[in-house]
Order: sequence, then structure tokens, then C-alpha cells
Amino acid sequence: MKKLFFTAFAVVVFSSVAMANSTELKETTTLQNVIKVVEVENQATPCENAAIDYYEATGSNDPAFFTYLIAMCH
Amino acid sequence: MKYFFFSLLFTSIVYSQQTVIVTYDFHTSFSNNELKNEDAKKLFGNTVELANNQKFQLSYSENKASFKYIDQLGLDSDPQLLNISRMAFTSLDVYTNLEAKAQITVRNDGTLVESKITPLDWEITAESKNIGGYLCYKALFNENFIDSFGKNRSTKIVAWFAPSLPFSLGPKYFYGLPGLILEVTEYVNSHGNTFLANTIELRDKKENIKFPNGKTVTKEEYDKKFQYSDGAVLLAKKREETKGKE
Repeated sequence: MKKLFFTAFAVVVFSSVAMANSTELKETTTLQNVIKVVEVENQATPCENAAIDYYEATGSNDPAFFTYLIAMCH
Repeated sequence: MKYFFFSLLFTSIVYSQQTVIVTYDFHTSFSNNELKNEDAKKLFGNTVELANNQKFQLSYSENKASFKYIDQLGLDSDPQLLNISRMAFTSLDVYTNLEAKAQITVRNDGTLVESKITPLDWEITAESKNIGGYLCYKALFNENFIDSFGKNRSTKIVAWFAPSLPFSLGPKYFYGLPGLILEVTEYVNSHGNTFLANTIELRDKKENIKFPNGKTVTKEEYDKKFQYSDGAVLLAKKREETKGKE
């Protein structure tokens, strides 16, 4: 009886540990995918790069003007 | 000496009853040679050409003034290009109330941005030249600010004012000299953006300078709108890249 109880207990514990690890792995993978998506979205498009170069060349200090230039790209 | 002061007082009293209308031409020494991005280079060339053909009118009467773009027939231009050239090089419409010490700028989206007039730290020199028959003296001031990329910058302003025209105004938001500004240059990135008086008309009667109607916002409130825009995110990223390279 004791052996049966111990075996059952071991199976339960072992299964919990195994599942916890796989859950953790899934969460890590998902988080990495999210980070990759955010990085891709923040890359400037060629049009936006042109807008940045134009804005910088004028020496302007007007955020509304820069937003206007970027908006032309969308 | 008494005769001199009497003449100056008489001139001031006489001119205080009058209206002055000045048209200004614009010229920039910017060119697109320094740009490497081909699309930016093309846009720069087009907007510089457009800016160099723009004219503005300063109207002043009874402590109020307007500085406005003159819509010229025959100057065919894309409205977007016109907006860009005005924001990049020339000027948006500016209204000044010297009594209330306030200026209103009409943004391209129609928003009226109000700012308080604070004294400009002009340095008046003894250097003089003749502009359109008026003896003008040179005045300088440096406008210090932190740019969109987080760098400390300074724009040098050089103005030529005519004491014989006792109106403390000029193009854009420039004011506070003891005479009308007939020429003013802003030096940006070692290039000059210059407004030069072309015609000056003095009228005997007072005129009503019409200000735009509507609610105004402060510059801080207006700039806050763009704090989290796509443009702001890209600027922040560019700022980090610039700091990283330094």
C-alpha cells in the first residue's frame, strides 16, 4: 500500500514538474515573438527615412512639421 | 538738441496715427546638395524653389500687426509642397498684438497657437546700410534651444532696421527694435533664410487688422499632441541612434 501511494505521489509530482517546464518554455517563446514583432514595426520605411533626412537637413525644431512629413508616408 | 528730440517726438506721434504695409521677398541659401537620400533631395529641391518665389505682407496699425503669405496668381503649387516649404523655410501666418503682448500663429491644420511676447535680446551695432532709400542699422541675437534630436542648438538672427520708420516690428515673430525691420536673416545649419522688404506703403488713416477667430492653444499644448505620434517614436529612435554614435 505504501509502495502504491509512493508511486502515485511520484507520478503526480513528476508530471507537474514536466508540465511546468513546458509551460514556461511556451511563455518564453511567445514573449520572444512579441518582441520581434515590435522591433519590426519600429523600423522606419524608406519614405519615413526620406522624411527624417529632409527634416534634419532643414534644421527645423517643429514636432508638428515632422509629424506632417511622416503622415505623408501613410 | 531740443529740435532733434522734438522732431523725433513729432515723427513718433505722426507715425502712430498711420498704417504701414510692407511686402517682403524671400530667399534661402539652402540647396539640396548635402542630402544623400534621393527622395529627400528631390523634395528639398522642389520646396526650396517654391520658397524662393514666395511673398509675404506685413500690415501694422494701432499696435496690431499681421504677417501673411500672399497667394499669388500664377504660382501653381501643390498645397502639400506649399505647406512644407512654409514650415521648413518661410513662415506661417503670424498675428501680433503689442498691447496684449501676444502672438498667434496659424498652423497648417488651422489651429491657432498663441504665445506670449517676451523681450528679444537684440544687440544693436553701429553697422549700417541703405535698404530702399532707408538708412538701416544692424542688430543681432542668438536663439538657443534644444532640437528634436536632443542637441543644444543656436540660430543666429541678423536684422536691419530703419529708425526713421518707428514701428517695432518685422517679418514673422521678430519685433522689439527701435525701427521697422526691412531685412532679417535666420542662419540655420550655416544657411541663411532671408526676408527682404520689397515695397513699403504708409497710409494716413488707421486700419483694422483682422485677427483670426477661434479658440487658441498654447505652444506647449499644441506640441503635446504630437508627443506620442508615429513621428515622435521615430524621432526618439533617431535620438538614441545619434547618442549611441556619440
